Amino acid sequence: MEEMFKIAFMHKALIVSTVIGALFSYIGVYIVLRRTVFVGIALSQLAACGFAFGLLVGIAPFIWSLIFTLAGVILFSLQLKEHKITRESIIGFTYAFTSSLAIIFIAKAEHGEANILEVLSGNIFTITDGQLFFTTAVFFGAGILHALFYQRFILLAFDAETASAGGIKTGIWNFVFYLILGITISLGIQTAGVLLVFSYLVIPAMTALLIARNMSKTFITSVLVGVIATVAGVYLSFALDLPGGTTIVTVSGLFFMAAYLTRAVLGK
Amino acid sequence: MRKDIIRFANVSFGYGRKTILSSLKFDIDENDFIGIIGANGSGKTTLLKGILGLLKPAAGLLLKRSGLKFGYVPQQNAIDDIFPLSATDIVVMGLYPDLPFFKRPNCLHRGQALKALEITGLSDHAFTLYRDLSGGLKQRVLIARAIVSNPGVLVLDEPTNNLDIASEKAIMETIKDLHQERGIAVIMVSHLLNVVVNYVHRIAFLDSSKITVFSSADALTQESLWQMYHANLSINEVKGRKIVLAD
Repeated sequence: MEEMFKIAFMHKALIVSTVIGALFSYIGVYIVLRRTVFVGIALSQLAACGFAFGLLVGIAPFIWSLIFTLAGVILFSLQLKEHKITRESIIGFTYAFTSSLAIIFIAKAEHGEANILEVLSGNIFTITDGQLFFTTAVFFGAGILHALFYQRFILLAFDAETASAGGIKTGIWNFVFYLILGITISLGIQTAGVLLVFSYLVIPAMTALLIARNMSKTFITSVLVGVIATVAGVYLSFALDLPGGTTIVTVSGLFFMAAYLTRAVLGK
Repeated sequence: MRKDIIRFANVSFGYGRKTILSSLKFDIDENDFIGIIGANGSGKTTLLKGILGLLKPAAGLLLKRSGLKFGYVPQQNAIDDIFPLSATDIVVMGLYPDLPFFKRPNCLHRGQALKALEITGLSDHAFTLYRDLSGGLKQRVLIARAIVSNPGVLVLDEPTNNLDIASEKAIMETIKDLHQERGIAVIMVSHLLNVVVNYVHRIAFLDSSKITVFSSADALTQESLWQMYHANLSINEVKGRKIVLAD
């Protein structure tokens, strides 16, 4: 472990993945409680598709990633009037359509394959100082906004109709929620990758909801699970020469299974 | 003397081009206890949404007394009990719309929530998780949340759905007490005629996009029920309570 901390890129990998892991594990509680886990994967895939488009046209992949994600944010936060198509199926459509589009963009982009592999599976070990600073600053900002907006976001997640009847502008707050999610996802996938971002949005929150018995403890447990899985995953990937992102996902998956089995054995 | 708090002046509601309710003309006064009834799809929920401001009138004028505050009790199945929230946590949420968005509730707000839980007879369950409560107790939590901000009107959507008969009576008695002792106007949507005829003062019947308001539950007769439901229904009285029977 000591050896790991002597290497500069490991410092950066640990800091960035902990920051990303902590915030997504926090937001993930809302995502799981709102039963919108597939919004997470669809937005991540949209971000990847935008990135791929940026590579194809050779202009600012991050900006395109952000544009694509924001288009998804607008789509998912709209109250759809079409009753024949469910919101769930639109999310599924978005995922499938943007996955295939991303592959088409990559197939036609010069050197696209090497870059997109990083976006899909992530590479936290190759992050630059600039990326580290920018990502950390944006994620801290998003964390502060979430702390400020907690009261509105939890109300919206629990019972949007009653919130609306009480005069809360639920459409605006819903958009703000997805906007923060979209911006952080489009930034997060560039270092953590689609798979890790999605798993941060789901697994720590699932684990926390199994263990905790109130909202504060659920958020705290989720963040702790995300951060501990990150540190353990980064260490294991270093020690065993494994890919960083997938090792973190595996560790957090094991945490969830351990929590589930413990509950099953204790009968709680 | 009647004082109107909500006035429908030729109000129509609909979704897109589809009109659900048209040219509604009626008032709700500050002492009202009105039951909204009608067949499935008659527009009960649409009317409720209109009253709450969740749906804007497609035509006409819907006037509400300035500063009128609503306490809303949605259908219980609209509430997801996956959330690890206690009864008190949920009731405190009833105060959130009155707080600035950045403000967290303090002990004063929790005190208000505990008082609302006491009114609805839930003091013993104040710190129990909502998901661990029975259907009847969950409904009481939602009523407590609706009254915690001292609303002028309590709006309930099928408050006794899926409840056993004892819970149904307990919930309706709680609503009646809130109306009588605290002077809260009550607007209640229910498809359960037996509940409606025993508690409400006025009945609004929705059918074919129109509304018919009966000045008292006693105005319901076999004939009017036939016109409403096209079925042979009779109202009988047993031990002072009205029972609607299908003949």
